[in-house]
Amino acid sequence: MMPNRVAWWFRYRIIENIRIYKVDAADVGGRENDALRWLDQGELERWHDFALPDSKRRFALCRAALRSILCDHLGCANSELSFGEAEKGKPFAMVGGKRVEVGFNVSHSGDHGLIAVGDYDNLGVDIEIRRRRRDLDLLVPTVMSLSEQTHFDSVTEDGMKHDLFFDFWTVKEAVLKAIGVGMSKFEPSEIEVPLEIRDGQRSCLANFPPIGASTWRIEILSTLEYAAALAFIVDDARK
Amino acid sequence: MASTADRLKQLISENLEVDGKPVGDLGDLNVSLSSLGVSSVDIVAFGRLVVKEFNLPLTPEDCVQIETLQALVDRIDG
Ligand SMILES: CC(C)(COP(=O)(O)OP(=O)(O)OC[C@H]1O[C@@H](n2cnc3c(N)ncnc32)[C@H](O)[C@@H]1OP(=O)(O)O)[C@@H](O)C(=O)NCCC(=O)NCCS
Repeated sequence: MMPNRVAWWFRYRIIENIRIYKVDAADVGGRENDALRWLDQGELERWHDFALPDSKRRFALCRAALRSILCDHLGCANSELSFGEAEKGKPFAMVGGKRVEVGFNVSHSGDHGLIAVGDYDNLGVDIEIRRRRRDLDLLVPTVMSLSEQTHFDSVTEDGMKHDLFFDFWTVKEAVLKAIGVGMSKFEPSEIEVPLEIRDGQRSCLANFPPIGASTWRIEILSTLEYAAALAFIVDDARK
Repeated sequence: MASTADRLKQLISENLEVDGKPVGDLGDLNVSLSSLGVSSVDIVAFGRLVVKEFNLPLTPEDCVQIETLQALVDRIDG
């Protein structure tokens, strides 16, 4: 646990043994310095390389929170914990230089961060602050399949269109982050938001044929301020 | 005719945002979008603009391999 100050993250949900934490990444005096004390040399270099203060702070606060959460979960000291990266950049945890079996994923947007930690290797989270975009016309054909576009076109109110865009986006990105490829392998339009979610359900089982035959669980974590989703494989047909 | 680097800089200053705020004028293109803190939704949007502006096919895999904005200039010119 961080010294002296109240932690800027808290656990707020547990879904099938996956613990979900919210991180308050707002600019609150002194927190960023506290966070930096928890980071290792490589992380400090990354922090240094971010061009904008908001990006620096978000990274530092979320990474320090992740470190604290994983240390509790794994029963190790911060100095023993380090991170490696899979081929497309998905981080994994190591204790004493050896990879450990714990699934986790991080997402941040604006002043918000989300961290999911659990025994599932393939888990992904994504959060996006809801904001008006000038380029929805450009994005929608890239991000949405034809049937999603039909759903999107049936919504007429502009604010709702923006909300729907981010709701869809975060589901797709959570799935792609779960398998560790992020936006590098599939077009977002290839990952179709399950019909149950499009109809307003906040949880469902789903399949994503372009990825394989596995069964997934999708959980919507959105609020009025941000869209957010958790995705994890419940039955891994790839094994 | 403006150079590719100048056209790309203009595209960035007019369109690229972090947290809904413009990134502004970039002096040096030897930076990655992720080190600027650009989120993936903004990277995808920017990718579409680059495709339109430079008539350049760009797959998601290309976006990963092109590490810096300067590398993108080289790719467009190449
Ligand atoms: C990495 C990526 C998933 C991040 O998405 P984002 O919405 O910008 O950022 P988020 O806040 O949701 O997630 C960032 C976190 O995801 C994790 N992450 C990084 N790479 C990841 C990957 N391949 N898979 C899953 N998680 C990843 C990291 O923990 C990172 O947090 P950190 O900054 O503390 O290290 C996304 O940018 C991506 O797919 N990048 C690679 C390909 C690319 O740039 N494509 C562009 C297509 S034109």
